[in-house]
Amino acid sequence: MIEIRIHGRGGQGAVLAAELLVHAAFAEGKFGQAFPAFGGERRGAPVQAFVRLDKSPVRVRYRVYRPDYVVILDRTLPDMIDVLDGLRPDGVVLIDSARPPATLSWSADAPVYAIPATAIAMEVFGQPLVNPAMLGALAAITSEISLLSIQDAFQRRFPGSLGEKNGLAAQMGYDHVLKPDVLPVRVTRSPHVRGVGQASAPDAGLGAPGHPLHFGLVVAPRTSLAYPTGGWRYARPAVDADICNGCGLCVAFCPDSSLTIVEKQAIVDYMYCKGCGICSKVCSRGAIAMMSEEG
Amino acid sequence: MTRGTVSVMEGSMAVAKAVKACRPAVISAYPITPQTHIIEMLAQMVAQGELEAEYVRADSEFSAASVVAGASATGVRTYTASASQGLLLMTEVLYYLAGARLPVVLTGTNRQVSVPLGLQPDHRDTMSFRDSGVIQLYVENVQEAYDTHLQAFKIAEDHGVLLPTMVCMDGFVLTHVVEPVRILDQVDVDGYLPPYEPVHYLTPERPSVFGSYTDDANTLEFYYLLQQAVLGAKAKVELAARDFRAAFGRSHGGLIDSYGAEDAEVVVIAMGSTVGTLREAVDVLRREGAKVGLIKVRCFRPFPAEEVRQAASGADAVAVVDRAMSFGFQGVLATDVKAALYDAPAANRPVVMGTMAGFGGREVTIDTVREIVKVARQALDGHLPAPDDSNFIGLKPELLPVAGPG
Amino acid sequence: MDKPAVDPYQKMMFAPGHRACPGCGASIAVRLVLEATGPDVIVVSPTGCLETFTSPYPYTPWGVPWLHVLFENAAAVASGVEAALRSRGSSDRVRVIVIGGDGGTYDIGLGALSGMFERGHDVLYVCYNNEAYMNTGVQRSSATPLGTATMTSPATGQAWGEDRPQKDLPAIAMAHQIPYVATASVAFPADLRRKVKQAMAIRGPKYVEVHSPCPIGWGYDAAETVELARLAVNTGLVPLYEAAAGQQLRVRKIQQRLPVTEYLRRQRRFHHLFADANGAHLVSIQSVADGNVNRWALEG
Repeated sequence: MIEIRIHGRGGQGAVLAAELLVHAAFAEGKFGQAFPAFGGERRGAPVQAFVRLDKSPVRVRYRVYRPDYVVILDRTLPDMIDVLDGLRPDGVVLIDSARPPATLSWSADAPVYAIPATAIAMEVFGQPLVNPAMLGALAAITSEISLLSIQDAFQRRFPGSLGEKNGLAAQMGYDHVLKPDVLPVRVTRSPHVRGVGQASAPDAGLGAPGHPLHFGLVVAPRTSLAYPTGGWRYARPAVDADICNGCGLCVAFCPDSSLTIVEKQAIVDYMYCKGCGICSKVCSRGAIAMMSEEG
Repeated sequence: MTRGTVSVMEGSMAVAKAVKACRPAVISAYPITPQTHIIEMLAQMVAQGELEAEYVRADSEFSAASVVAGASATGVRTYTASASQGLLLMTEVLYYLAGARLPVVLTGTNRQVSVPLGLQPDHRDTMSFRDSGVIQLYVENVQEAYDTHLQAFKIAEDHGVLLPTMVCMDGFVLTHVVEPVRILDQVDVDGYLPPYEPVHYLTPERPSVFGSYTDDANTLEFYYLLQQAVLGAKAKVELAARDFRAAFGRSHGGLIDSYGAEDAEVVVIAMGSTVGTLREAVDVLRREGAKVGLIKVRCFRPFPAEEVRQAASGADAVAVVDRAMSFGFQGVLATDVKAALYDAPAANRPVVMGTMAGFGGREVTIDTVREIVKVARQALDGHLPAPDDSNFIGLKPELLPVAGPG
Repeated sequence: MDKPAVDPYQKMMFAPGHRACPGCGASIAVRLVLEATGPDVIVVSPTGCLETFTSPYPYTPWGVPWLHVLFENAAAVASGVEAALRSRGSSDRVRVIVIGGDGGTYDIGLGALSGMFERGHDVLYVCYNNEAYMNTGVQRSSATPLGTATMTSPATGQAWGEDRPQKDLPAIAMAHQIPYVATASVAFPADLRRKVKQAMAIRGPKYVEVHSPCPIGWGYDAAETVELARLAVNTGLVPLYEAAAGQQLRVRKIQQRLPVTEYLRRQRRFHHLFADANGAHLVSIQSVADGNVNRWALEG
């Protein structure tokens, strides 16, 4: 049995990737299971999906704690959560990144393949649909599943030209891994996994983070300040100081209370800003531009 | 010498007087028979200025429970009452109150649950809260109903407990009966029950958040804490009864009460208003030569397993009088009694026989008890007609269809 | 730019770090409402998106006391909070508000809401209306507008999405003869704040509904939340008005009315309406807007 854990962000397709892997394996006469980690999480928040593939029916019903493969659909995730948690000693990591992975924060030593899945997706779809390239790459790395089965699974899910595009992107991910100069990079453990920033300390007591469970689940105010949501962001608002006159329109409309006006200037708190882009749209002077986090 | 002034009154009036003496700040209720007299009298007390409380006339039992949930979270003493369908409609809120550790006190005036729609007392309604975390005390007469309401607030609001507490009294048999009852002076009640001091409550001065959601990372620990709290309430139920006796000179038992059980061959275990009849039956049957005893389970949750085991393990047979059943299995109380006795040494583990008596409002008389004891003796002698854990006592075969349904 | 030296969150009533989706209209509504009420409030919320994204233990953005009990009872819980404040003698200083979604307000919580209205509790009930059950994955509610495709009112085969008009809950509130009813939108913060302030100046039950777009459930880019909210108002689909004791007080006039298609075509939930060759359903929806304009005199 092989066990796979897929890390993504809400809305990114981790659950779909897991599901399609099982469809692909089943078409090859194998058995498997795919399921998400359920939670109240929202679009952009870190999510996980789990896959087990085996020659016989999979009976265990718990999450994958000791993965053979970790598939990371977003290169910012290692900064937010411990994506390598429980990885087997001979485990392999795939991450969507056009850049070498050595610069990322890791919690363990592991061989890491960087797959330019976003770049492939932009070329094929014009949108960052990273799943097919990542699963194509996985097929090239593991002998457990063939590229053809993965392409078929996409084709069945998305009949017609969209399926063909998915098949092409899967092929490109597969081909990338087979290039002679593409080898897994052995990353070494970072001294610590970084958070996206140092969050404000919440009021102590009453079941605040790091405190014992409160018997009646009573919570102190504003403890969410210890939960930075900046990592959910795909694009960041950049305020042009020369244009901004501190009118505060953006502050009024910020769903994440992440904008303030200080000395007639809009200040973004990137620790929490989720990058929705509302501020950029509502600014009557065009002082806020959205910049890609990848850029 | 037992304290209080005796007067003759209806059970509901006694409860209303007890609640009034406890000075709840917010009362909310929705009328349902046989709870109505209690909440009508409280409404009058408030209207006449005898009781300084906010009385919220809710649009449903569900809203009534919700109103007291909100009020309790705001840090004040609260009270509600209901029965039957009304209690079932409150179910979702009562589970919440237990989890959120809000010490609401409520009266469950026991009544059968529809269908069939009817007004007879049994315990199906209140016992549906068995697994909610709500503390449940069952009373046998009006005096105990009065006294137990005072104790209920004390138990619920104990900072080691902080759990909703339900006083269960059989509808009509206790709510509408008129009998002498000792009513305490307000100063005595105030001495027994201090004002409620909430640990946490909603206030802008110290903002806090109530009613979060949890996931698999911490729900188990939360349940563990709830179990510790409900188990911990056992000592507080005993303490409240002891303090009450010390102050007022009477007791109805703590977690349990027993009557002639010490040397009994057959022990009957029951809850609620049938207990009074059973006391009389013990005397009658003993005069007839049968060594019969009685255990009253006063506190159903937390369940006094150890206490029942100790009190019953000397007997040869135990007959459980159940007014609620888990259809497809057996009587609810019988199940618990068996579980408790399973841990007794095999040598003094009595035979346990469940009986559905007083179920569907069918009354339990001395003759009923005589029959129960007879069946128990048959069980002892190995002459049980069938290994039946749910003997329907007083069943009328002539009313049953000849063939099965369908 | 880095974080300012002064901690801007110290007294914040609705802090960041909550887990609403990017571009969440309800989050904007909550912050604006609290800016208008000030900190001396107790907030009650029913189950729903707001409850879920603000209370994963032990993280919460609330800087004001907040209570969640269940889905269908926020108005009853708030009634109890208010009764308790009266008994504590602090009801002059501390006020009670409910903030809940349309599912908990229009549907499952309507009985409790009606009870709170008729008993006259001093509570401001704010409904952020995103027009479906978003927390559970976008199913229709009785606030879902005509023609909307949701997971339980799909546009497939002969079905064209929600085929019943929205329940008119503000009218139901008005029928209780409560002292203040208003509709507002996250697109007009000043108007929303003014209405909340107006409501807070009145004793008794008040109802304010805030139209709050949802990027996920409606299918549009998160950046466009405010724009879509504005379009909903400017097409006449969401009339903004105030009423007292059952009588209309004033309306927000539409300067330049736009056809409903300007609003509908930008949302995935209405895309199927444009695939229909004769556009009959678009005509039906336009007539809803026209009806609103007439009834509330939104033009001129």
